[in-house]
Amino acid sequence: MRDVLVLGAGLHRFGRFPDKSLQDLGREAIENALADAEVPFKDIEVAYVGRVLAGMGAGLNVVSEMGRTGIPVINIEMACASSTSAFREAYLAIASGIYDTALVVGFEKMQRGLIQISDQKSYQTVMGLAVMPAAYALQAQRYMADHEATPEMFAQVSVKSHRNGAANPYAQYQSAVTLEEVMSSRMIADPVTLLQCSPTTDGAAAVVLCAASKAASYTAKRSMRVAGWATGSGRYQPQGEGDEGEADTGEIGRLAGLAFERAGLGPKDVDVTQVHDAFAPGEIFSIEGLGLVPVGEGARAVWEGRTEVTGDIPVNTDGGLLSRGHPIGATGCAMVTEIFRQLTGEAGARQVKDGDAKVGLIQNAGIGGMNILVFER
Amino acid sequence: MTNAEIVEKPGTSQVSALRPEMFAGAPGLGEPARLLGSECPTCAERFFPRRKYCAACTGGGLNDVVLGPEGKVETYTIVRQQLPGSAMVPPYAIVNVRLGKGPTVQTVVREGYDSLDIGRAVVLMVEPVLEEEGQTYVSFVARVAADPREAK
Repeated sequence: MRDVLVLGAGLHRFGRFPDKSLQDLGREAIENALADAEVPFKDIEVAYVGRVLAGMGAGLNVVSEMGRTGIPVINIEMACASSTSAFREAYLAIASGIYDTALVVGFEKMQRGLIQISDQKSYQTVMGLAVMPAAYALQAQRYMADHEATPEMFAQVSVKSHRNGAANPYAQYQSAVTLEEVMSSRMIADPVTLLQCSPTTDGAAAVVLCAASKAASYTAKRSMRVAGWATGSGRYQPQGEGDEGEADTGEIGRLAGLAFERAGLGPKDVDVTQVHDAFAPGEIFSIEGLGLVPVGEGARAVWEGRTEVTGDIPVNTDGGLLSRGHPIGATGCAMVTEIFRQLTGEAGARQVKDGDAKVGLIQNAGIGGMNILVFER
Repeated sequence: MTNAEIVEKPGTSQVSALRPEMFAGAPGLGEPARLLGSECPTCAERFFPRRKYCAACTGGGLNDVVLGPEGKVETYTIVRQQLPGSAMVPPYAIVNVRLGKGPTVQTVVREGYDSLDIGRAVVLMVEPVLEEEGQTYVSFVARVAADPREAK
């Protein structure tokens, strides 16, 4: 397998843009990514598109805004992890020698309110079970019973994320919130309050990939290498033994281990991380699963500021899903974009480790599976 | 829906199960719920609802097994926002209920959820959950057991 580099990345700002089409959002993200990479669209040999809610052929409708060069445009769906899935396919196609350059695009336009994860007439919906924040709340309640954690510790994730979002001009929410504001916002599913829920969002993100052996033909002065990856669809966890004394890291741990093995790296090497915080408790479960902190110590780590931009394990430095926003098809590519900014020392006020970050980690989860990506400068 | 899966309640409209295949026999309104699940003959893992192949070991030939009605709460949350299309009106609790040797099933607690706690004994009951076009649909919901030691 050949080495593959990310040469550039770009976003359309995340937010609510009722007057803009998917084409408008996607085109701007692609323009920004191509300009960032200094790669002309005519050199792109294949496009992989992560999208969820748009109709048939949405990928081509957006990519062809840049020209009709006849390249394959491949639509990929894995809910909230769609565009990291698209990224992985682009990476594998280049690594295996089929293509030299690829464009990855993610985009979404969403309605306000609770996301519909199940059909309106389904059993799960009628019974009131298909409530996405409740899935995280159920885990959070159990976490508090098993470990020393309080609702304030989950809320602190949102405080941190909003502070980071305030330093990100592409974030949906660019203002800080206090712990009291998070705690006193409307309760959605105990202990998850409204300000601990990611918003629905319109937005787009794009990334340009190139074989390392071909990258010299472009003038970009910086890049990051895809060092490791893993994908899974959620392995069944046998329940025969019951839930007593459980302390394993589950599916995240299994996939992170595989990605780190492929990268020849470990959790201690990671300088900056993006995790799937669709709801605030997610950051705590994810940093434990990834091995950045021991199981049961994630809430304390957040509370002590270790996941802040200035902390030893900075997480979601761009505001994460909570503050940057979560246009589900675009989220994965936005995660890659932020890691690229951090590893190239271009993250400005959000920059970690004085611009000397070398290894970045991504965990992007969706209904249908999870992607882990490891990058090295 | 076949006749065998419909239970008549005297003096009321016809009562049917929202998902008849979830029950072992016809569910009786207001009675403890007996759920129909599967057990793997190879690895003994239990599932609800029924499956053809084992999710754990991929083996086939799963046997029917009757589950419930008693269990204990693994975790719970109280939902405060209306889910569009749902017959459940907040606030109500979602509970993950561990049934004996498994599996864990998810359902709701509509009354008395203030006394819910992790490890608390609950009983699965057949209750009306949806009224639609003169038809009452039942499903299984959880009720907090009178005696917390009832858990098995």
